[in-house]
Amino acid sequence: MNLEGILALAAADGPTPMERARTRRALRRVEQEYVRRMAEGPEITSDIELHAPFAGGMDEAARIARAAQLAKLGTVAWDSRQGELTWSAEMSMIFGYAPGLARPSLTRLFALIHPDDRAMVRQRIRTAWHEKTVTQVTYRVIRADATTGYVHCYIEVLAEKNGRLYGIIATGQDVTELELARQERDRLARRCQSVRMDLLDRDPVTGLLTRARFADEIDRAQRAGTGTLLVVAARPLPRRNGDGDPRDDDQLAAATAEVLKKLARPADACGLVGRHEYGVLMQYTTIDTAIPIAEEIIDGLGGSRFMAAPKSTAGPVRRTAPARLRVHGGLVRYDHHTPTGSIDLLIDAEAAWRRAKRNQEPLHALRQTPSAEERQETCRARVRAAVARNQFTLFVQPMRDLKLNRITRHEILLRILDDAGNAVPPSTFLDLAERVDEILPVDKWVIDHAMRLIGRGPQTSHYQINVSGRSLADPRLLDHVRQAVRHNGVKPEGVTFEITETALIGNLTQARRFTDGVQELGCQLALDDFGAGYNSYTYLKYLPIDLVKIDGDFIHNLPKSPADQAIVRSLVQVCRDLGIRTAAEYVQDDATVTLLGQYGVDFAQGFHIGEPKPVGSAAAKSTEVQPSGDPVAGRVATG
Amino acid sequence: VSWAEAAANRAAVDDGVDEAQRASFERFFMECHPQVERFLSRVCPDRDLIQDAVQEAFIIARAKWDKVARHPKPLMWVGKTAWHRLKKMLDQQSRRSDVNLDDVPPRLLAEPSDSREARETVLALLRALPLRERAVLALVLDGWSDEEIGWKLDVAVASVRTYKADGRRKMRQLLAEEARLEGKGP
Repeated sequence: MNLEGILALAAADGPTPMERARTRRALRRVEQEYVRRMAEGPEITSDIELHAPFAGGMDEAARIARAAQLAKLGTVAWDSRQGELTWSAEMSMIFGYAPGLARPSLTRLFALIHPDDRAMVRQRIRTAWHEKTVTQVTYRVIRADATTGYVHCYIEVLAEKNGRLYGIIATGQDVTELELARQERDRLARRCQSVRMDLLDRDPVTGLLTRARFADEIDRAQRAGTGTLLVVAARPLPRRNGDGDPRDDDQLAAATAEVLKKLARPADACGLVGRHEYGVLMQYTTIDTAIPIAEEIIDGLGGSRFMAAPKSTAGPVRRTAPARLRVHGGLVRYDHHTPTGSIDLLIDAEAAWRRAKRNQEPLHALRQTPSAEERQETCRARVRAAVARNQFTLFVQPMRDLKLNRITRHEILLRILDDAGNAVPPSTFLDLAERVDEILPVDKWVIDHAMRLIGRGPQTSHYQINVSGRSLADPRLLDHVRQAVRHNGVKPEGVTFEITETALIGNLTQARRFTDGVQELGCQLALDDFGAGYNSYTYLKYLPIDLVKIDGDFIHNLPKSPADQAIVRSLVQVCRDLGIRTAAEYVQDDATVTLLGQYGVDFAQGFHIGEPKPVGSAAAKSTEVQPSGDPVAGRVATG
Repeated sequence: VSWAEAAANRAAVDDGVDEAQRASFERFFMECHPQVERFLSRVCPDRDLIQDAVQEAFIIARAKWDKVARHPKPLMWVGKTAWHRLKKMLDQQSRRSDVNLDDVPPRLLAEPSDSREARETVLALLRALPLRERAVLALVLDGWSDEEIGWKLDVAVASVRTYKADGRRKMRQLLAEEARLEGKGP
C-alpha cells in the first residue's frame, strides 16, 4: 500500500462511542477545573492573541515576529523591498547588546557571527532564499562583552499574498547551554568508547590476580582486620629432557593455579606474585590457624603430578615425564594496628619461603614482623648475592627499522637465573633492587657484560642497553660506562642507553649530567615504556632523548583500539616535531606493523618481529652475528 | 421593585447568559476536542503532556468563550493555544532530561488492513520526522490549508510547503524501506 492509500484509510472514520464517552469525561474535567480556577481568583490568561488570523495589515514577517516575541525568541528580518534589516529586542539581547544600542545592519550581523561560522551561515541563507525553503542553523556569536554563545535559528523566506518573495526572517534563541550539554554528551559517549574500564588485574595465563592487584587486595585486607599471607614457591623439579620451552612453563603455571584455587579456601584471594610464586591471602586467620591450611596447600601442590598435554600431532612425538613441583611456603601475619605495606609483606613472605628452603622444611612461619632495617638488609643481601654469584644472563631481541624494513637494532635484555638455572624476566627482582637502592650494581653488571658482548662482535648492528632511571643519579655510573666503552673497544655511536622507568628518575639535574655525559661519549639515549607509569613529557623537554619507546600497552591491541591509535599518532607527532625517533614494543601482528608505518613510527619490536633469544643461541645468531664461546652466553647453555 | 428583587433578577439574567454560553461551549467541545487531541497525539507520544496541553487550552477557551466564540476559527485558535502549551512543556522537558521520547520511533506495522492499523502506521511514520515537519503533516491530514497551517504554527507559508514536501518524501522512503525489509519490495 502506498502512502496516499494508508493516509486515506487512516482518515476514513468518525468517532467511536467509546471515544465520545472519553470526550465527555474530558469535558467534565475541563468544567470542574474551570469552576475551581474561577473561584480561586487569578485570571486565566493566554499567550495567544484573539485577533482574527487573516486580518489585513498583518504580513508574515509581523506575524512570525509577534509569535516569536510571545515565545521569548529573537528575530532578525530582512526586507528586500526596502533593503532593510531589523532585529528584535530579544535578538539584540542574544547578541549581547542592550535593545536599541546597536543599529542593525547586514555588516554588523555578520561581524557578530564567529568568523569560522560566517561562511556556513551565509550559505544557509542563500540556499533558503534561492530554493524558497526553510532551514535551520546553529552558529556561534561573539557578544558585545567578547564572550561566545551558541545561537540556533530557523531561517524562513517571506512571501506576499500573491506569492512574491519579499524577505527573510530568522527566529533564533540562545542555545549555549543546550549546545554545551550536547557537546558534553558527545564527549562522554566518545570517552565511554575510548576508556578501558577493565584494568589488567588478572594474569592472562593463570587467571590469578597480578602482583600489583594482589598487593591492592593485601592493603584492603589490612584495613579490614588481621590475617595471614602465604607465599608458596612451586618450582618444577628438573626433568630429564628439561628444555626451556616457555609454553610448557605457561601450561604448568596455569595447571598449578587451578590446583591452588581448589586447595585454598574459596573466599581467599590468590595471586601470581612472581614466577612460580603464588600468594594466598587468608583473612581473619592467625599464624596458628593458618599453618594447617598452608600445610595442606603445600602438600597438595607438592603431591600433584602434571601431565603435559599432547603437542600438535604434526610435531615430533616427545616422551614427556609428568612434571612435579618442589614447594616451599612462607607465612606472615598482618595486623591493622601495625600496618605494613603490602609490598613489604610480600617481601617478608618471600623471605620466609626462602628460609624454609634453606632449612629444608616445607613451611616457615614468620611470627615476628621484621623491622624495616632487617627487611632492607635481607633484600640487599639477596640482590648482592645475585650479583656476586652472577645469577644473570643476557638475551637479545631484534628491532625492525620500518623505513628500511629490516633489522638494524637489537635490545639487550637482562634475565635472572632462578635456582634451576632458568632465565626469567627480571621485573620483580629489579623492583626489589630499586626499592633497597641496590640497582647500581645490577646496572653495572649489565653494562659490563653488554659492552663485552658488543665489543667481541662485528658491531654491524645498533645495540640498546637498559639502565634504571634510579641509577642515573649516581655519578659513578657514567665513569663506569666510559671505562666499559673504552675497555671493550665499542663504537659509542652504535649504542643507545634505554632509561627504564621502573622508578622515578630521582634527580633531574643528576640525570641530566648522565645523559649529557653519555651524549658526549657519542652514545644515544632512549626513554623506555613511554606513556605509562611515571614518564612525562618533562623528560622529553629536559633530557636529550634520541628515541622514545612507546609502552606496549598502547601497541598490543592497536588495530582494534581507536583510543590507542589516537594516542600513538599524537605521540609520534610530538616526537617528530621535537626531533625524537619512536619505537613500538609488543608488536604482535602485521596489521600493527602497517599502522605503525602509517603513523611514521621508526622501529618495531615484539614477538611478531622476533622473540628475545639467549645471547649466542642459534636463533640469535640467525639475525645477528654473535661471538661464540662467550662466557656470558655460556651460562645459558649450561644453565 | 425592591433593591433585593432587582439584584435577584439580574442574577437570573446572568445565569441565563451563563447557561447559554455553557451549552454552546459544550457543543464546541464535543466536536473539536477530539480533533485537537488527535493533532497533538500525532505530534507527541507523551499522553500525559497532550492531556495537560489540551485541557489547558480548553479551560482558557471556556474562560474567554464569549470572545473565542466570535473568533472566525475557534477550532484553530484552541488548536494553536494547545500547540503552544505543548511546545513549552516539551521545551522544558528537553532542558531537564537528555532522553527525548521522540527519539524512539515505534515500529511500523507491516501492512495496515483497517482504519485503526492505518492510523498507527501514520503515527509511526510521523514519529520518524522532526517536530515541525510532523506538526505540519498532522495538520495537512486534518485538511487545513497551507495558510491556515502557517498561521497556526507561526511559520511562513513557504516553510509550510517545504515541510510538507520533505515530510511526505521521508514517509515514502520509510515505507519503501519497510517493504524492502519485509521482503516485498525490490
